[in-house]
Amino acid sequence: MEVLERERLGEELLEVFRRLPKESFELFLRNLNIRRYVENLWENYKRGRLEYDENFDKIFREIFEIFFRPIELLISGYRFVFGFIRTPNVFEIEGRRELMKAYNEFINSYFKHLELLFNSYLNLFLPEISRNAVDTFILSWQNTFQRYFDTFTEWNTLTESPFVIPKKGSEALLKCLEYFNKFKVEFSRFKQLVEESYMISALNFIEHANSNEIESFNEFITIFSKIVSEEFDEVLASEEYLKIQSGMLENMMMYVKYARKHLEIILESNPLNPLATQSELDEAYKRIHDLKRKVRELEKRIEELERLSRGG
Amino acid sequence: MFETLKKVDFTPWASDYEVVHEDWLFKLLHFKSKPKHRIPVLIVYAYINRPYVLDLHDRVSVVKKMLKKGLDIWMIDWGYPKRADKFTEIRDYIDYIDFCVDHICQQKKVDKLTLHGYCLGATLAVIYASLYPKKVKNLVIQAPPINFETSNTLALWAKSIDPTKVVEAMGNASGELLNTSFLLVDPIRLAVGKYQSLLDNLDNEGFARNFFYMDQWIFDSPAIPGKVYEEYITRWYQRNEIMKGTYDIDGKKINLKNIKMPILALIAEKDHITPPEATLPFFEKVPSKDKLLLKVDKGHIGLSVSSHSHKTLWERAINWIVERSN
Repeated sequence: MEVLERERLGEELLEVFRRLPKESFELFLRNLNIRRYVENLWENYKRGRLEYDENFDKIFREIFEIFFRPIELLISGYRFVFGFIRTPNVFEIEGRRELMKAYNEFINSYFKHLELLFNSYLNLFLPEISRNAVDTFILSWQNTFQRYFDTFTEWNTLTESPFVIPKKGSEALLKCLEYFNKFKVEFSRFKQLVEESYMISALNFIEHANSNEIESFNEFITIFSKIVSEEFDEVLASEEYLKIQSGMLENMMMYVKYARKHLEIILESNPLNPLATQSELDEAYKRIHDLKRKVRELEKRIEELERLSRGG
Repeated sequence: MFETLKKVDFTPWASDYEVVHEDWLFKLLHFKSKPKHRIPVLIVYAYINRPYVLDLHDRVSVVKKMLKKGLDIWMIDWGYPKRADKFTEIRDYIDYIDFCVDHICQQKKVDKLTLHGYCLGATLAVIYASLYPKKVKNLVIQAPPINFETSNTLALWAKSIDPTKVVEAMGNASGELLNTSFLLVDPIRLAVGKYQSLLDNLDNEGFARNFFYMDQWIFDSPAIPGKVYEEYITRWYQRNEIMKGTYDIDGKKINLKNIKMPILALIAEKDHITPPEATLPFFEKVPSKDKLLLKVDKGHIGLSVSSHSHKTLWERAINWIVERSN
């Protein structure tokens, strides 16, 4: 019964998700939770004195998750990108080459098994002529690929990264790491300041609630919101906050800039790379915009000349 | 439980219009009507959020109200900038306004029009009016940030950041970044208080409809082209160049003394994005002899979409335009 109820609720929420902006939907769901936690606080208040408990912490998480997430995503981005391009120890790679060969043999056997299975189905369902053409093409394709792959795994992998990529690439990587570390420190300070401000306002609310008689849930939640809002009005305009926020933003942006620069240099130095980098595209966009302005200027001059020639 | 929310339907643009010109990113819209007055109105919207807030739905459409009074309404839509638009600059906006003004004047056989700027669109309108005063018959500025020497949180933030670093890293200032920033300016009221009111009114279809019309608009945030972001944060917010008389477009200085045409300023007293002090010093400074300032006790968005503003402010504002449109 409970499972059915949950499924029905899930379907309903999906329907609502389709209709609302992503941000509204998330804030709506988070506020359903916030309402539940404030109701718990209200119950505690009605039973006697209000004290700081886990409900306050849960409210905090619901409110600020939407603000911390974009920043945390960048940290995940770092893990993803650097996990991908990290240069492992040269001996580790060489040791893995044997493992790669064994794996390759295993995969080949597995493909042969699939091929046999596939052929037996083809024999059952396809006419003779198609069967021959398909078989021939697939075998030829596999052999071509196999030859290429075998040659590829025979060679040593280029693992001496600092000498393989251009110097500017390494410099960008070092800068990226430097800014990432600064960004991490600033983000911790940012999070801490927001948490502390919330904590102060929650304690102020508790004091207010315990020294006054709040008669209804509506009044309870309104006073809570008011006290927390007022605290944040002050904090968000404070010099300390402005300093932390701008430091965090700057280091975050510099980290993104150099992380991308590092990857772009690796791509640009690879002769097999078929993709244009963002910086190369930006250069093209810039030239297009400059040209567009020149065209517009010429159009204006032509219009002016036409006007003058008409005696205007 | 969510029956009301499942019925939410969002179809902005209450009035019919046609796109009369497109320039890659920018569009010029013309609203269909049978105008009774000679002077057309060009609405220059901000490059943040979307212009349909002025034509959101029947009950709170400023455009519809203007059309009903017989005005001929045109509007610029600045579009959804992509990475390819990173190098768009403020001078390109001014140039497109000029193109539109010429186009409309030619079509309507007039030599000037009413320029109605909204929010950062009003800043553009003021710049344009000071550069081309002969082409602007009347200037209407709605929630206009002209004086950036203000103490609201958003202005303090804008003054403390380095926009060049944002642009170097991200290309444009993305819509998501802007959405998060606007929420974080007032996190408890905007991310909690507002939605708790929704929970209290979940069975009220009218409330939910209005709520989500607004939310759809709020979160429909185009990116700001990188170069535009860099310039307006640095030169407008941080250096307050327009008020100081040092701002220029292609070397041409913006002189507020050129604003001698009739001017109507519409401001919201509880505006936390463009507080009244962002307008008042400018309004006092311009030499126009025909000036009117209308205020409403609402916030930045309420100025356009609250029933109270429509009952009190818009009736007078539109009459002011009509009286100067023949």
